[in-house]
Amino acid sequence: MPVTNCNLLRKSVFLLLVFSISACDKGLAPPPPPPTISGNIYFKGTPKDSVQTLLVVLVEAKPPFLASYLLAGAVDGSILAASLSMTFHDTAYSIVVKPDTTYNYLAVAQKYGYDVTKDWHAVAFAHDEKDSALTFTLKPGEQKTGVDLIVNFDSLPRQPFIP
Amino acid sequence: MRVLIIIFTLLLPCVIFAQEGRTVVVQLDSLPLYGFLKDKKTQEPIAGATINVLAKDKHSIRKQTTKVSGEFRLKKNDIAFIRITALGYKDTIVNLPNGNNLLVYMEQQPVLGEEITVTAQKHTTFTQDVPISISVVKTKEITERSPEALDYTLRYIPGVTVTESQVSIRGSSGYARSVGSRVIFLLDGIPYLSADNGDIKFDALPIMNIDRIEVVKGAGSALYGSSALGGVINVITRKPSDTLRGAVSANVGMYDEVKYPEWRIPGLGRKFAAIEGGLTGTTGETGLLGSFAIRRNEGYRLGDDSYKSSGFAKVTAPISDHDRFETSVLMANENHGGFLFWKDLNHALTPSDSLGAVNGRIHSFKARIQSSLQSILSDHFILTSQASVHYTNFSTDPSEPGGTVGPHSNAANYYLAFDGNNDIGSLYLTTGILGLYQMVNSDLYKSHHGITLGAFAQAEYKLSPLIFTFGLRADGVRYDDSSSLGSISPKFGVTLDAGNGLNFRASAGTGFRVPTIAEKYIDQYFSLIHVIPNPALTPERSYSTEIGGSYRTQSIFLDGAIFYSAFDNLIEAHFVTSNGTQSIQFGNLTKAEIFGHEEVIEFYPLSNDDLSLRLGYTYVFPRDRTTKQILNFRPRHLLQSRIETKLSAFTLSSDFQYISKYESVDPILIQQVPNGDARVNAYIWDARIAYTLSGLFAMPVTLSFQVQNLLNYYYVEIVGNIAPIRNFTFRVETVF
Repeated sequence: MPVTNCNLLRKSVFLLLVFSISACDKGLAPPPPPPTISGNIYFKGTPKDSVQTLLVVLVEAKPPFLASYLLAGAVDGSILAASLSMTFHDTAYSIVVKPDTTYNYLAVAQKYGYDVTKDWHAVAFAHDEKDSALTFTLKPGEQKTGVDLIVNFDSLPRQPFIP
Repeated sequence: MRVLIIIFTLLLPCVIFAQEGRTVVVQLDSLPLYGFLKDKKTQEPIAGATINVLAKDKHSIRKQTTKVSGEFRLKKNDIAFIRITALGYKDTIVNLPNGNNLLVYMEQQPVLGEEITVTAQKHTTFTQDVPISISVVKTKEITERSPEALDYTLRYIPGVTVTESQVSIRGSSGYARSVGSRVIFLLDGIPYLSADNGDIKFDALPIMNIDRIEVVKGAGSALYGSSALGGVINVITRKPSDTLRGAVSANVGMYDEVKYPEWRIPGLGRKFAAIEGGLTGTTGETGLLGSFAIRRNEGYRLGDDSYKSSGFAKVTAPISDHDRFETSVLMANENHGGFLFWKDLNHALTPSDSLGAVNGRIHSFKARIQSSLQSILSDHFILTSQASVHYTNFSTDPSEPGGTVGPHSNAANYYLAFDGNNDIGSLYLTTGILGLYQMVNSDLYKSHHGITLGAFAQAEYKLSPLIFTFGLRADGVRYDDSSSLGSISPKFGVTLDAGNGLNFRASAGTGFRVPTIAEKYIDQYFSLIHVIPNPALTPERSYSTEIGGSYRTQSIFLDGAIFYSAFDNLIEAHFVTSNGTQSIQFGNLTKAEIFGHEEVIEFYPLSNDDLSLRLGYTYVFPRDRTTKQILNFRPRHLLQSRIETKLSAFTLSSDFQYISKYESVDPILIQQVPNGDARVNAYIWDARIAYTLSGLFAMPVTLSFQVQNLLNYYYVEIVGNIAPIRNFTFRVETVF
């Protein structure tokens, strides 16, 4: 075979290999699982108010905010919520969050009255050693575990609501 | 039986016409010189060769064509020489013999890569003499891939893509839910589209008996009428052998396990198998050919398995010295699952609960009979009469046991055509008339009928080194009692033989596609969405131009073309508000244009076929002329390569395809199918190795192993459908 023909053949094989290697990503794949924040909730003490609803809430807005925002935010998607049992037994929670979105406040919220726009208080929130609220920004597929919350009905935390 | 009677009735005028033609030739019986032309190697007669009678100064006195038997008869007056030319043979000059009988053997002149085509001009000609791009796929490439259906093979032709079963040439077609074809598909030159959906029933085509596939790229309605919007594909079946020959092949295979645990379906078999056989021979002067195929595929997706069986038979017989009759019958039966779309990308191999029909199996039956009669009416005129009946039927089981049965449809096409080929020196005339009657009875489309009448004429004028082509066709179509739709389709082309293997071509042509009965009259609920009829649909139209050139030597073939096509009235599904509710309807929506270029390189470095390489690249820029948006389901880049080499008794081959990601897909489908927008570039690599054992049981046995989608690359051809995953096939084949 002439040398030039051999070279052309080699180039063709090389081109084929380049395409083959570029194809190694396997194409379509199942979408990554949605990003999730999860942990446990521990209960202490006895509720002083009547407990009508108990929710884990994840809030995009930075506190302080109006209590009515809990309802409005749930509607427009800027607040994610998961219901908790009112047996006050220690329990696990898990919330699917939007990827690449910053959440500025994670708390357990208690509705103690009949006015859904006002009768809320926080009974626990995720915070650091300086009592500052933790923020969360998860990438697609990221799982944030071990974010535990301690509800102490005898000593409520700092409230996020504008009076 | 009724079908046979109808066919006989349809052919009767052809036979009568042929008898009239014979009387012209009978007048030649008194001529003194009888000649016979045969192939030097095979000893078979050569029909259709040109006998050019030359005077002493070698100027041409007259021409004639050899008969089916290879026979020709001449007056001896003034003859000094005879020059004989036939495609694929060396030109031969014979001195006038003293006697009255002449036996001439012609030597084959194989030129690597050189092709002939019968599709582009409706008569046999070299591809370089055709003013439009042509691709030809030969038997070996078709059968060696062990395709379950022929559409798999079409995917390897430069410029051709297949979306589900819809074929697109250079971006001419997208995906229209398997309804309508923007490419006219022919079987031995006769339209092969169903009467209801206007689709191509690939599973019924006799893969074992296909001689070659010819693809004409660009609008071809000036010769072929409706549907030749983007091009023409002609599947040409084999001719019966002179001696008794047969072939049997069996293959077994399996799909690989899918990589992602989320996609796996416990208990799914994933195996497939097929057995095919065929026999051919000649008794007296009647050639016979038949084949069968039985296939079982458990599928790589849930609810996507199939049982298929098909049969094909062909008979050829010279009715007289001047008339050759050919008839073929095919039948196919299929029973397959109702996988339509995936559940979602997390369950990509599981059908959608609402859009699939896991329990609702689909049964289909196809039958076709077609006949042709070729009559040499004079030294210069050949008449070809063609008739066919194409029947399709499908029915659907209830989607749940005991539930209501799904839709069904019965449809038939009755086709009759007469083509004339008239060779008058430098002018070659092709003319024809045809009629098509469609009949549909369906609970999807209701009962409808349609009639199409057409007439065409094409002239090729040879003014060496140029060949000019002019063509014009008129068609009229009428459905039920609605008003008629008409179309006039002109074309023009020119080729230039620049010598030394260099050729140039330019062409402009038009195409049209009459809406199918399915598109006009569908009235059905799919997943609670009502698809409503639109009887006001009008034909789609296209205008295409191309400039190209080719260069051919013994070891290399280069071809390049730039093309531009404009489309009007393209039919697409869209949402409409009807009686206060949203429905889907087909409408004449889109004005589009496609600009592009295509390059093909074939390389034979060893000056024989022991090593061959082919590379084809097609770029298209398809956009909506109104919105300037990219058209749906058209990949912008298409790269196809093939390498094949022979090492002793081994043959190794590799095919690679790169198909760029669709930039746009049908928004209605995205809305209906979860994760419907998921799509990627496609990299598809197939490889195979074959070993031929000679002398075993006195017949050659070929063992082959092939891997399709070697990279196990996951991609979609249509929304919500993973294309076939990696699979392995072992095949045994013997010929005798």
